[in-house]
Amino acid sequence: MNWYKYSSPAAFYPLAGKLIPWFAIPAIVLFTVGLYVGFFVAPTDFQQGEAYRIMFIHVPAAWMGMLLYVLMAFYAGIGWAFNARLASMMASALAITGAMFTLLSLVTGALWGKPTWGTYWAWDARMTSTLILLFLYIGFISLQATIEDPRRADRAGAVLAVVGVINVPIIYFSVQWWNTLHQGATIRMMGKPTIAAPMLAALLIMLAACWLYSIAVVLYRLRVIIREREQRASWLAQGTAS
Amino acid sequence: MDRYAFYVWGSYISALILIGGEIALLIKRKNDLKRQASLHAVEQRRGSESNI
Amino acid sequence: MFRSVVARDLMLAWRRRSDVFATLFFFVIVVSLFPLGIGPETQLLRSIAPGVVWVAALLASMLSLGRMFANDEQDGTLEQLLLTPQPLYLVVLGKTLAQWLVSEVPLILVAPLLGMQFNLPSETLIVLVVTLLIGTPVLSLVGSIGAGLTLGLRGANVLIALLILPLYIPVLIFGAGAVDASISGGEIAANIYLLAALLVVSLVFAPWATAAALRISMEYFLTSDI
Repeated sequence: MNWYKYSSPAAFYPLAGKLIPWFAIPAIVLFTVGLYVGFFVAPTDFQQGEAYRIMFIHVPAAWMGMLLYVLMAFYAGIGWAFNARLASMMASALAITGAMFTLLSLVTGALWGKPTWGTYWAWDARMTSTLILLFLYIGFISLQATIEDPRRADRAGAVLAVVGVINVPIIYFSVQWWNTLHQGATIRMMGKPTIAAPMLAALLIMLAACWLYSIAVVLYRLRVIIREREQRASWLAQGTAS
Repeated sequence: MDRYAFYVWGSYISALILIGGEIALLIKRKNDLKRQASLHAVEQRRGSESNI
Repeated sequence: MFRSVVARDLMLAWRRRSDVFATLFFFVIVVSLFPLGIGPETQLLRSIAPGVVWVAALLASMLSLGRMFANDEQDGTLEQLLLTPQPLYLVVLGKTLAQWLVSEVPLILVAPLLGMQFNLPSETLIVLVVTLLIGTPVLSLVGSIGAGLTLGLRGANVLIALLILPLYIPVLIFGAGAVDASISGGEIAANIYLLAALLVVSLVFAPWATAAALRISMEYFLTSDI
């Protein structure tokens, strides 16, 4: 089976279109199942009461935010190194979804913090790093939005994404360092409750649901991006012809 | 009502808003593209007519 | 070649002295605003001083980065630099050194005076200068990546800040951390070592990334016939 024929945007477009429902529908199903298990099967937590159920959306969102960033940097790097347009477009498609999940994890994190630890925001290592991750996403998206030429936007984004992904461990380490330096309140934020089997099951199901959702949405966005570029290219060509 | 309910509801509603918002914006982006394409096509046709 | 790049940039900066002074005054003013906003209480000022001085240094660096390549791009020098047989890494390193000498060193020289405004003890002032000495080159090196990526874009200055400030955070944490440790009796040396590690890593990787960014940005200028 020759997979290389799908590496051109024009060829991938219909394939992506066919794939989307295969991810979108299972995503909806898994979201439903996951929420059911999370709310009706998983028991009340001994320490945190009902508030811990926020975890079923907060934790998958946080993981997706981080995973999608790495994926984005990977595709951007491939697109840059091999001059593969489709890979670069994939990176651009991933960015917004990743940023959304990161923002969601910050919001749900704040809402989880208030009833459990009494404060909406605490500068602990994980929340702070997530905030910085959001800044990295916004930088990538803004850079690509500002550059008009698609190829320059692809490559500049790739440099930024690769620099960013290398920096993420450094940033995370430095934030942990900073956190231990300023240990006033030794609150361990977002301590996960002792995991009972239904809780873990719900967590994994929700994570899978977020994964499938991401694939569906990113493929859809990728198709729109392919169309946008095609259109732009053909209009430019018509412009110079006349 | 459980005092945690506000926060739990709030989290899942914000999830709905963000996820729904992302999908909505994406569909809007696609529709804008389609509209632009058809507008452009109309212009092109008009342009070639007036050249006669 | 390296030396001539540095020398040329220094000479050009000397002709545009007012830009350099503007960045320096920005630094001074920003730092001086904080006591006015927060209150003159000695203990409080002492505790915020490391963060305030360091954040102001980050922001002041942002101002000077926009100029780093833009002027050369406008007068055609950048094209020439990209076409020389010399490795672009060295050219970028030279320009970064010049930028550091011109924009960051004045900050280092003024910082002790600002530290005195915040009632910092003299030992802390020394630590402050050392951290700036090691940390500001990292700001220049990493900042040059942003400057290279945003060349010729509208709103480049704001965009540079958006792209680079998250990457500056480790420098901020270790730099301010060292000064803070000096005040509160913590581990100064560890922060300094970490800062030095950042410097080594960025010396190796940043000019390479900037060179790549410049090639990407300039390819647009060189090949577009619009």
